[in-house]
Amino acid sequence: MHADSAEMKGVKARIVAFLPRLRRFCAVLARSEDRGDDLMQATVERALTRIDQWQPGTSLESWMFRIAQNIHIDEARSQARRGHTADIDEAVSLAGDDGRIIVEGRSELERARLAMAALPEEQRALMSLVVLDGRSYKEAAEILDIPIGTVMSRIARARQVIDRKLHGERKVDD
Amino acid sequence: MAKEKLMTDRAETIAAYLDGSLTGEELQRFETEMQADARLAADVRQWQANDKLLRAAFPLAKNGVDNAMLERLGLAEPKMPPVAAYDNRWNWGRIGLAGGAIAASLAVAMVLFQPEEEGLERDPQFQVAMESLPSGQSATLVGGDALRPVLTFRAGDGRFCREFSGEKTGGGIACRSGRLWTVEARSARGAATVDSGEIRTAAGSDPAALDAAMDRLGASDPLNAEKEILLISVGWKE
Repeated sequence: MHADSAEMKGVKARIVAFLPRLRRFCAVLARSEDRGDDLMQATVERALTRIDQWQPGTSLESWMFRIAQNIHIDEARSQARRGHTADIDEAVSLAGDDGRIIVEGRSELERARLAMAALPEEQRALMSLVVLDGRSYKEAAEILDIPIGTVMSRIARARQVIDRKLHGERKVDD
Repeated sequence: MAKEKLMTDRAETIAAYLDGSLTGEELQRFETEMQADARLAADVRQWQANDKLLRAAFPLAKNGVDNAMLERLGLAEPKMPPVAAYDNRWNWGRIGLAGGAIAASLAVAMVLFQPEEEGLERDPQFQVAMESLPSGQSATLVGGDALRPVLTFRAGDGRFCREFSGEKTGGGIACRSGRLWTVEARSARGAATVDSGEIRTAAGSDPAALDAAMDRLGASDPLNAEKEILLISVGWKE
């Protein structure tokens, strides 16, 4: 695809319309808006330089979500090799013994953001795709390259964790 | 162990229900179960509320996507042609101005201010605004105008459409297809007024012109704010 072709302009217009969703996905993955923007930038750059690998007729958006996820994983691995651990998010240390986030003075929305940030990597990506972005299990499975059964179990576990973070542990049989 | 398995199955079923993955008999069975089991129904409601809270905590257009960012990403149109150079044939047919000096002056004002459809659609900020801004919030177009979605409705053919309004752009309707927003109608912009010797164009739309377009499109009633935010959040997918 030539950089100035009408086809390329169409692709760029689609990417622009998709940017807000990509930006949100990246911010959730990276657990911060700044790092998320870096991830988004890297994703768009890679998509534009490898646009020939995208097959028209398939979802450009799913392809870009997958690129973002791959870049994020690569980055996390390379940080680990360099001896950096991923940022221990404030959210984790804010969790009380009963799993509830100690949030005096914090708004409900902040609590929700912290609960999301406290999720493990793979659950965070799924929650972002399914709950925030409304992707189906099948689409999410394709984007993250995991079986659909794994999507179902991970999304259920993630929701259990979020529920505990927001409302505390509940008795099972009352 | 059996209890744990039961809990896991139950969590997966609630999640699948909320995510629209239960269909047919499974869905029916689960809904019947919920009616009989108040605790289950309460759990479903609570998880549903959690989802809603999460979507509110991660709104789509929290900071917008500004032009500087688009340039950095290599997605901005390098230079927009000067607005005055736009061809305005489309609007001439609808404006239908009577002759006379004032009308001629108004026409010049409109030519100066109103970009052609393709120009508006190609403005990346127009696409971002239509895709991600709740009605009532405004974004600055690359061309400099502040534009806001006014309301959202569903066309008879199933597409989502939004009425928009801009100080210079005037009013219009754009519908979403192929993940892009295409302008379907533009109003002639409300009556122009002469104020202190200067011709000023009224901001906003000409409701009558847009009403006709809505009739043509088979518009539904406007969607409420909650439904609109949900659709924005999920990329206009139902």
